[in-house]
Amino acid sequence: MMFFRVISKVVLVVLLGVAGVANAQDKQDLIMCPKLDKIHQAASLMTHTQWCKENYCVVSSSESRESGPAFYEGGLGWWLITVVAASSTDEAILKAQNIATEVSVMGSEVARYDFILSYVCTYLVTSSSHDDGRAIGILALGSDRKPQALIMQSLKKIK
Amino acid sequence: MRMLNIIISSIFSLFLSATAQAKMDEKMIACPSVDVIHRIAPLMGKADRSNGAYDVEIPVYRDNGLSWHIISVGIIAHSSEEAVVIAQNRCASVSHMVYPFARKFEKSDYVCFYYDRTLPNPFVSIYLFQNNYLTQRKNSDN
Repeated sequence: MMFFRVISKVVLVVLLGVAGVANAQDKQDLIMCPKLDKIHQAASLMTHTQWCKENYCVVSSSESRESGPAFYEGGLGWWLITVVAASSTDEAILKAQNIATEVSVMGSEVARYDFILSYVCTYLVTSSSHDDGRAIGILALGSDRKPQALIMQSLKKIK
Repeated sequence: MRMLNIIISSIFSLFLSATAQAKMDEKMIACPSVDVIHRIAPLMGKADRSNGAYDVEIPVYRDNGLSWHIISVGIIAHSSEEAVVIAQNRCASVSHMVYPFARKFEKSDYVCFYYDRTLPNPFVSIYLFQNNYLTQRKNSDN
């Protein structure tokens, strides 16, 4: 009887291990980044602010739900997030929306998988008006996880 | 995997450096020219698979007395050999730098971005990481 208990536990552990590996492999599948026009279209959804160090983190929200993704693509919900220096939340939102409108270069065509943030894509502003020694852009976070948890995790990481 | 983490953390740091960067005048370093990127294209040769795609790199390249880590990420290819060819083509066809000066990120590292403007949705083809810049600068000052 003892022998069977040990065997069943071993089998369970092996199954959980296999499931974990399979899940990890799934997470590292090829995920393409949303195109630039998707980011431009979602710029007006950059409306949530949170104080991050000496700057504001500005996060998108969906039209229907406060913490919902800005859009869905490739089976994932996508949130936009950026960090801006501003003197008020209104200014931070305006700056973030302008950045989201003006990004013109993608960091990569392929999303990078991050264990905390899920899939991450970057978009950069190249215009000379922003070229004052700073790298300016937007992060798009793609996830199938609960939105609030994702946003909180991403903000924690940025902080 | 390590490079992936470096890239992600660097991007966060780039964004987080929004206020600090205004004070980086004395530390500004020019990114290697597009011509330099074209010249080093044949040297792209080390491919690693991650995220269902390939990253191809030159671990160390020296330009203007500085040491750069050059990488092309997210290459969709059927083999590492094909990925290397694509990376070499990317290097050979970059037409623009995102910024003329390297952007500082975590722990004294800087990064330059290059892309090909002829593509319909320009994406960064090549990243250059300039490692330990401050350490090198300090040593050269001494």
